[in-house]
Amino acid sequence: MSGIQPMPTMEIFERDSVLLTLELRLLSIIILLYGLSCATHILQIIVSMFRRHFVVGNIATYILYAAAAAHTALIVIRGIAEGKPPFQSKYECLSWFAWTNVLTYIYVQKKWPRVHFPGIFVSMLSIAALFIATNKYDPVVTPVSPALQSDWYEWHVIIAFLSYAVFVVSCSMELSYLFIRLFNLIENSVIIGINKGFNTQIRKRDYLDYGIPAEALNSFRQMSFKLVLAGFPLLTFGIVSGAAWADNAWGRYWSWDPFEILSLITWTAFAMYLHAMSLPSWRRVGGSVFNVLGFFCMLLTFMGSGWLTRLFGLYSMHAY
Amino acid sequence: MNKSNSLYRIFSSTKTAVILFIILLVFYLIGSVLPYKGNCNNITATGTLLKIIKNLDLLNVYSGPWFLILSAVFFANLIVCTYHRLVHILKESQPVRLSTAFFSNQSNIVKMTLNGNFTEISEKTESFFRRRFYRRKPSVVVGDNIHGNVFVNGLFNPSWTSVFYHFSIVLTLIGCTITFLFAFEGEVTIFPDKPSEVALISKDTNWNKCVNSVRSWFGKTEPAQKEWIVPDDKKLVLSLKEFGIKYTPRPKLKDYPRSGFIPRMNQIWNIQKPSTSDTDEEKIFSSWLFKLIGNIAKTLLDTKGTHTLSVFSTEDTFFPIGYTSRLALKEHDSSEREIDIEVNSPLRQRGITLYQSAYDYKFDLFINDAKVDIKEDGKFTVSGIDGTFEKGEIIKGIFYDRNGNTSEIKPFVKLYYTPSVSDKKLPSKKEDLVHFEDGQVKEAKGVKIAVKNITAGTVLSYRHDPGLRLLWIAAPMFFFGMLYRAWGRWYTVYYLIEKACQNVNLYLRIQKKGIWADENRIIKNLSKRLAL
Repeated sequence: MSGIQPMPTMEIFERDSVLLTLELRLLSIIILLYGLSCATHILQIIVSMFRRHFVVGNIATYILYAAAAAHTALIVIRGIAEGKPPFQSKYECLSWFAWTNVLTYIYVQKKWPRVHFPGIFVSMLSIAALFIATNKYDPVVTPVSPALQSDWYEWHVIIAFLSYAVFVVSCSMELSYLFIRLFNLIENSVIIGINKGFNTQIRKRDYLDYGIPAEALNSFRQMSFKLVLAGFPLLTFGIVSGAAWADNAWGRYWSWDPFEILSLITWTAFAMYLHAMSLPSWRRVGGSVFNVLGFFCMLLTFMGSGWLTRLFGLYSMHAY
Repeated sequence: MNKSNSLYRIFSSTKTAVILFIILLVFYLIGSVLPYKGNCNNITATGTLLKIIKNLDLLNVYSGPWFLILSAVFFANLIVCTYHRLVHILKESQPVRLSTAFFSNQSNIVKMTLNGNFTEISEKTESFFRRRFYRRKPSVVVGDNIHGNVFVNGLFNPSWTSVFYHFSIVLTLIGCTITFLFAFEGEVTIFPDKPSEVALISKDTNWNKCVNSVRSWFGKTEPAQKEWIVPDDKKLVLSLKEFGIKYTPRPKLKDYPRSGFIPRMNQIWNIQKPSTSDTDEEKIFSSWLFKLIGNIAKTLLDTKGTHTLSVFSTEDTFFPIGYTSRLALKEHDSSEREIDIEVNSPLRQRGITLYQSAYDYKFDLFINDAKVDIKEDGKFTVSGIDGTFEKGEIIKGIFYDRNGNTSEIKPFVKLYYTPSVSDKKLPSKKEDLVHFEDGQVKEAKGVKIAVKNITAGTVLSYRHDPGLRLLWIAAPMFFFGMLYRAWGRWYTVYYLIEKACQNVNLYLRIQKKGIWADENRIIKNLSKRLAL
């Protein structure tokens, strides 16, 4: 009975070359699509200032769907090329981060199809992540180092990134809520001024011009809270599974490593947010502040820990 | 108001928890920028900042008194909050007084006007909730010709989950405290034929240090120079039988720019730089964006050609993908047994866990047939030669090729040479010398260099952590408790059925908790049940 012959090494490298070329080209098209989606979302906001019209926003959403589909194909290709889930290197992690953000946003956006502010933030963040990945990191599929060969590692990364995606969308919605209220206030002040000064009867703007009925505005903000409520246990699991992996791999579940401390800072910031939202006097301003603070802490944990360790000359086993 | 009451109110308050979180954040930020357990000489701060760092001992922020005091206060706040909420749940709640006035004073009331018999509608409504395993809460109906109830879903009050996971945080902090007081760790390097011992006890735990401090405070000090002797039954003796490393080639990308979005895009899409002989028309349409769009279109239409990036690897790239230590373990009064330790596969034995941490090599170096000692930093000099030699990577193990073939690597040592430069402004470049295999003699820099007896040793770290068991119990409690509370569906339903002239009015108020809770579903299903 003849066995399967292994591929000669040269053919393996040729296959890797073709897959990597295809993947990098697809990645540049995805960046283009995210950019188009972001620009179209911004165009929708500009159009909303003059007319209650959402066709441009719908186009932006469809472009985002196309980008997400292409990105899913990219993740699958990378996974096939690597033979395991594609989040082993920083390049792959950035791509995975952008992908999970967009998928989570698409899931949440179905409930608020006419609100396009969050789409701007999510697509901008995804563009930034992919741009950094393409600009700075080596895209070649590399073997996995011994410390990363752990089931705990895979669960840690999947769940942690899912929590990051949820927090990104939550912060986008929180900022959108603040922007909509601010825009509405500014626009109506201007309209009142124009009506008084020029004796005109221009209609005042209401929240429906931005895609949300006034009675649903609090519900929209409540969605932001629900997302953090959903993401917080996931972040907790991410930290706990990371500790379990560290205990198995390095012999210590907690080393006060800068990356670990930053993840604890993120957890504490969101814990503050959840507690503040249970206090009526802190809910309005404190809630928004802690949500945005938690988001920036999350970004610093994911992107900034390497920068922080280099800036202060610190050692971190997570710097890669 | 007496002080103990106000102290209790402060410690049972959620606001206190938020303020403590803010202070904890500040400590975490300090620890993320200052090297924990670092040396003052190694940080770049000067003047007042350095004085502050030294006086407040900010380089040991997580083992310093300030953080420990803050942790104790946070622990007290957590305990009191958890107790306060537990008391609140256990206290028998007063029955809710249901009346039309109750519903007119509340927000989010749903009113349904129903045609039908009052008694039948009352029974249907009550059975709707009972069939879904809702539990009745104590309530009193006030008024005539009205019927009402309060129902909650779930086997227990959702506040219990909150108490549950807050209690698990208490357990986590207790576990961390046990770790802080009683854990110890160390590292041992083992070469073949040189067994090493690992002690199962240590005198250097924080608990022992605290006890000694207290004893010295009371004037009872340990005799000086008392030797710490570990009994034989509290030791493990480890001998290294074999240490193996698996290597694989590390692929690289040919001609790929080190960084830069545009240079990399050029390489991916094969965009050539314009040459000086291009015509004006070619130069106008040679802008980068036009070329990029053109090449994208050509590739998608499959008329571009067969340009691909090139992945390759060279013979000298060795990427370690696994280390395994095969050891003989001997305990007091028991026979020797063989064990394997790998990364992510530690050995747990009698309260000690042994981890594959790293590896080490030793070899004999001969320059012109004379043995040379290499310093701890790996550097050495040779008389008559200007500059410094340096020990580099040592490779010994099994090589796994991409196509599945394996081969034993002939062990070799990499040596580097750095010439000394007269101009200190110019950096001296490290030169890669020829690789030296075990037993080989080669010439380099005018001298005969030989490397012999390359021997691999394993570096194992070990740790005793009695707090870990409690953490393994607390962590799933915390995660599942929080998940259940956040992701569950919790409803409290207040309803009142009032007999009107020809109709029956149903007033409904639903309080919900949990991200998947949706009161509209209950209203829709109840409407169907009552055939609206």
